[in-house]
Amino acid sequence: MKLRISTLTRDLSKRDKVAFYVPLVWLCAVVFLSLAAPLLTMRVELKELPVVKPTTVSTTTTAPTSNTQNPGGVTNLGGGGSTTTQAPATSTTVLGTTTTAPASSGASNEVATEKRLVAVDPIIPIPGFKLKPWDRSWETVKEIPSLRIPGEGPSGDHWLGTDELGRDILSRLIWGGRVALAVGIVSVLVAMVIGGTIGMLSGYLRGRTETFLMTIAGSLLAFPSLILVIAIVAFLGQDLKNIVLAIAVVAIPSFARISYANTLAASQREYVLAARSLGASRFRVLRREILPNIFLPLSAYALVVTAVAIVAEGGLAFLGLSVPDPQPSWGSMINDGRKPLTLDGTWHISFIPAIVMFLTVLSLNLIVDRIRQIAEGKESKL
Amino acid sequence: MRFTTKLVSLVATVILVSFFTFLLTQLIPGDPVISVLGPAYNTQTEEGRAQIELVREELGLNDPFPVRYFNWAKGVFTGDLGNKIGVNSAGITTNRILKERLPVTLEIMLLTQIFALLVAIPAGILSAHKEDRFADKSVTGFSFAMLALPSFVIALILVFVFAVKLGWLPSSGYTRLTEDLSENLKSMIIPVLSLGLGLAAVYTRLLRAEMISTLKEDYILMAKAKGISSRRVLFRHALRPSSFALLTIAGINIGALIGGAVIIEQFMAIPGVGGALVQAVAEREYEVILSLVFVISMFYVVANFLVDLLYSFLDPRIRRGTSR
Repeated sequence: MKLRISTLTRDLSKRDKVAFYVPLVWLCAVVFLSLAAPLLTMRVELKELPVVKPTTVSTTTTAPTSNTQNPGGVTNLGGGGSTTTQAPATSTTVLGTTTTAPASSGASNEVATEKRLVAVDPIIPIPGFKLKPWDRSWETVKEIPSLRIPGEGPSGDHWLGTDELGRDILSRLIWGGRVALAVGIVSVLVAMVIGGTIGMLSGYLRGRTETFLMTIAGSLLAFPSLILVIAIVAFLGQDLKNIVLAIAVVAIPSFARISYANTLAASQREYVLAARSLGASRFRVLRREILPNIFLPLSAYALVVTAVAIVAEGGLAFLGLSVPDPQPSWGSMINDGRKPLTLDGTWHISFIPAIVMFLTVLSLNLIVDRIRQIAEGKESKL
Repeated sequence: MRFTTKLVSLVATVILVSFFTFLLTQLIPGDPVISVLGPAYNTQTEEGRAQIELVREELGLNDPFPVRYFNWAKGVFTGDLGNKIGVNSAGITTNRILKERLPVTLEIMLLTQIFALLVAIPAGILSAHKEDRFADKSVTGFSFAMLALPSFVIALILVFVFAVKLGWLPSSGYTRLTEDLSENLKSMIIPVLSLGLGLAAVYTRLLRAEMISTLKEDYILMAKAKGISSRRVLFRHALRPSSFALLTIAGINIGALIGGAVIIEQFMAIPGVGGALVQAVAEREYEVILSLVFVISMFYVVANFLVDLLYSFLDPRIRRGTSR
């Protein structure tokens, strides 16, 4: 059975349709914004720029050039002490135009050029949605401290306010969504493919394969999964790749169990017998008869695991084991806001990412519920 | 007969789990010797390398894999779970860590289970009794929301409201049970609520689904026809056959809670097993990690085993071997 949205919303009341489409739209928005984050937000690029002597700097061009008083690469700029002089630069456009102007004039002069970090306008500038400030999210703000107002509430410049270091929360949420996406989709897909195959093989072939694979899966299930993730991440190193890997490894046995149970039930069916008596090979039976029938329950479970994985990343962040610091993730954003929680008016720093995480998990649960209903309805019809 | 099969499978699982735990700590990169000698130790000089060799020999790290496994397993079965080997913490045994910290984690686990069941059983019964009515819809909706709230977010909200704003509860820390009972319980409220609300939601949904299908059975109709009050029907006739799935899940969660309390323990600065484990991971104390993970997994395995036994004891349909 093909999984179409129309099959999922068929014979639903108007209210239930809302309860299905709203979460779907939310999830699509999260996926879209995370994927498009590099296009939507301002970027920081290393560009060849002429060296401007500090004395010749006029006030309008301060923004990019004052940064450059520290020659060198990214790391030097990060600790730049001279950046306090550039207060006038407050809007993205000022930075954008001034950076392009010296770049074009640099070719005609014999002024020495130098690689510097500059903020570049988003590739797709949506009006009113120009994420501020300097939003390639995390590094830029570090470069231009005077632009940061720590712990500011929502305003026109920062739609969701700024965090304890003055970084724009909306931008960080969008960039953090990529971590959630990697953890929730990549690791779950990996686990689903591997675990699903193991379960199908042991459920259909039975015999020794079944005993061997399911005993291993059973004893792996006896491990407290969070502890296993912590151990793997701590040893392999804090890195998105390792977090994805750890969550995938932990999810494999449970996928194997689900797919095993469903394969067992499916392989008793008449159509499997029919296919076998027609001389279909084992592989063909698995692919054409079993797989389509276990796909729906398996994908419903995959969405549950997606939600669990997103939460697990948050848990890792609370233990200081999520993606390394400047890179935002929802979990680390919630965790970062814990200290400012005690101050006045800064509760939004951790509550906004918490709400986003909550809504995402809730949306996934609502959709899973619907898929389950469909799967059960299908079951009872047979 | 059934009991023996189960016992055999329990023993097999225990051995497999111990083996996998051991394998895990072997597969992960890093050298325990570094934690003995300290990170500043010079590994470049001839002398330094000789020293490392000496330590490796002393710790038995040069033995082949099966020998090391059996040495560790022998220790576990004789009650010696190994000890820390690091420079600053040499001699701290895993047994001591467990003795200090396991009671704290067990207390959280126990209180959380009690809380979750106390909330879930009435809520589930009510919800099933009033199926699709207002009470059911609000219970279902509330539990749905609770399911989507990670424990650390609940903890965050509770700390913000009750510790920061109202100042009723401590925002972190733990008072030992033996010191002050009321303070102890006070410091347990936020952790137990944050772990228990999500769990209660799981239990409620489960019990509701089971109850609804039980209430459709003929004997319930019979009981109602006989004029038995609906309270008595719900609690005496419907609850017991509906509670087996709940029992299983509650059993599984004994292990899951001991492992899953890590984040909340860390969040609330409670000295539980989870904290010790995170610390051991940070200090690369392989043997301690190994033993702690093993002990936690054992809770899980044994709890499942006991639930399985209890299940067949409580459900006559299984006990007498007839099909359901």
